[in-house]
Amino acid sequence: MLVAIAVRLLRGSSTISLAVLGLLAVTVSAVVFWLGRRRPSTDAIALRVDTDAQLAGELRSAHWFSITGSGDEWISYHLNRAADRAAQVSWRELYPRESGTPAWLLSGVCVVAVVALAVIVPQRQSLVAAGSTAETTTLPGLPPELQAKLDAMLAKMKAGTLQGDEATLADLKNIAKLDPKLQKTIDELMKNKLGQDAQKMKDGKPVDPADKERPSNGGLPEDVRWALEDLAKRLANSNQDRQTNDKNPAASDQTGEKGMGSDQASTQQANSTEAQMQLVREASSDASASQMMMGGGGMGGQQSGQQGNNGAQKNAAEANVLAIAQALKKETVEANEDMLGKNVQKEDIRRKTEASKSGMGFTKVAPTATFDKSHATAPPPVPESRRPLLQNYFIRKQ
Amino acid sequence: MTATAVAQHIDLFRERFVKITQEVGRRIVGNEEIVSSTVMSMLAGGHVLLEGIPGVGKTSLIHTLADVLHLKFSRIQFTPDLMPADIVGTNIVQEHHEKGGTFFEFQPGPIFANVVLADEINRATPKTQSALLEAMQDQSVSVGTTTYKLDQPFMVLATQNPLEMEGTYPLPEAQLDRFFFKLKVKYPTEDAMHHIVDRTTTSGDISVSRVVDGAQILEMRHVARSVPIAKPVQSYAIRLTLGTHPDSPYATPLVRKYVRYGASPRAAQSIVLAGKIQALTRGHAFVSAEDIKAVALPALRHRVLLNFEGEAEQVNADTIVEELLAATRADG
Repeated sequence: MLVAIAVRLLRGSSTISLAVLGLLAVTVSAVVFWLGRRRPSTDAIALRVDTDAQLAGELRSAHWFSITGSGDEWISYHLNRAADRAAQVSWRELYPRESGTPAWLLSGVCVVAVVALAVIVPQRQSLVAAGSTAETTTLPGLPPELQAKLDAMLAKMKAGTLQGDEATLADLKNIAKLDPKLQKTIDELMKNKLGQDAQKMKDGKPVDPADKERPSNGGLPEDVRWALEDLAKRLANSNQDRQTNDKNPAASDQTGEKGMGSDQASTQQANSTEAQMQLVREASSDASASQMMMGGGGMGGQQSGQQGNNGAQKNAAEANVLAIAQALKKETVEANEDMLGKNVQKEDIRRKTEASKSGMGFTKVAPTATFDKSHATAPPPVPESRRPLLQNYFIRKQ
Repeated sequence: MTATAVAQHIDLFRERFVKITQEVGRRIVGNEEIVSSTVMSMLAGGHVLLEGIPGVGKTSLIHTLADVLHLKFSRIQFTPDLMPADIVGTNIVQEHHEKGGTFFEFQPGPIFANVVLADEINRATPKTQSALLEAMQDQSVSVGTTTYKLDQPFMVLATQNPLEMEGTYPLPEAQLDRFFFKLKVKYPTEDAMHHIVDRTTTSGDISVSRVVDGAQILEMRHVARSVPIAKPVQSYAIRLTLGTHPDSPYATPLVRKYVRYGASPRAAQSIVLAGKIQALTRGHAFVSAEDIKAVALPALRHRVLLNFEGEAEQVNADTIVEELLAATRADG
């Protein structure tokens, strides 16, 4: 049943479900045949039955004598008596037959469901297709050729095959301005697209099939690309914070920075989102754009206020080398730090000594022992009166 | 022998067994298990070693049993200066009145009886204790160059005080092994004490009647040996015996730690034979694992020899055997 559901969800062939069903049927048949075969009874089985029937070992003993066989009268008497006692046991009460009806019914329902899933229920792909046609956006008063272009672009975005060239995006944005509902749909799709791209970049996969064809991809190392993405996010956040923060001391018409109540705040927010989006795409794919972005110019809100729709993009492009260096340095520092809950999901359960973080130290280390020569005394001098005796003792006399 | 005859044999055996135990129970208060095991040993042709502190009724039990059985009874009080000849008998010089001259004549000792009470057997020296070896094993006595067969049924019922008491000699291992059962007579309970005091401090004397004779006992012995035993049950008895050896795969941790030597093959013989009698007393024509288990402790406890560590820690052999019984599976 689970296999049939999985096959159906994964758009697999119905043959797989039927094949698995047939394989299971064969396996169950083999197991039933194996378990139902006639097996020789052992002493252990006889002992278990004897214990269950409370025959005090008579059945076990009789079982052994019935196998070995003997003409002894005592054994014959024993076997006859054991048979009589075994006949008095209510075996149906001792070993009640288990009703298999619910299990068989459940098995039958499962088999029918598997067959129905494999044969009767329509494919998921057709459902998806039907759903996608139903979601086609129709704008009132839109020319047919523009409507067709819009549909094609939306379909590409849903399929994830839309290329991020500026002309296409500009067309899409222009069309989106015509209808607020369409604007919202396109924003959500773009966010989803950005999320997928970011996930692919994290996994080290190419963001877009077209990326593989671009020779400039190898121009940027991965760590630089990540640093650029981080920088772009921080620029966008910084711009947004400055635009939306009423307490921003730099908010003025001269500086171009806006507070939350300014009339350009919403426009700036949208622009910063676009800048962030575009910067990520360029950072991941276009080395020349990244170099241009590194080319110079100040960072921060002074630039952002002077820019139009492409203001954030230009702002990111003009990020100076110092900011990149700082970002890289920060990235390096953060990469060396394990923050529990952020990049470390499990607590380091090693002991402190194992983690080389032990705070223990020797506080009472004895100073290095030095040899005090002042306490050394010279050996006692040889008494001069004994010198001749010693000499005579050690010098062999000729 | 037909099935009916087998059934009659079983019933008769059971009836006589119950009669003996009931008759002994008229005089001996409590200790039904001791009485039953003693009768069981007698029916198996074995000897019993009764151990207990003085005054718990060991000698009274044997006296009563001899009264119930229509058998020749003799008592040997073992003392440190008792000699082997005092037990088995000796050749003495006799004068030939008609022909003149002298000749040696064998004077049988107290061992020549059906039921021999060896009272306080561990108060005699091992030399004297060993005088019983041949009688107990071969049911015969050799004096000089002549071997005398003992009358059947022959049974030695020995009593001994615990070894911790003064003036006792431990029985040699070979002598211990010849005892079918070693029974520990426990101190009577409060109720049993009341019965004992009532029976022994009044004027009335409780007399017991003789319910079986020697021929009937021999017949019961024959019936007991006819009971068939299945190989798996016999295997259980053998595994219990082998399990008392520290180097056996069936040995338990306590056996490996505290036992120097395990039980001899005589232990397996005793267990199986006692199991057969136990089955007959229950009216069964077969031996079950439960029968084996019921008789294993008295058959094994005196055959397990402790090592130095066990002696030093005063480990009880009963504890070792009980652990073995709990650990050994009947279906192994």
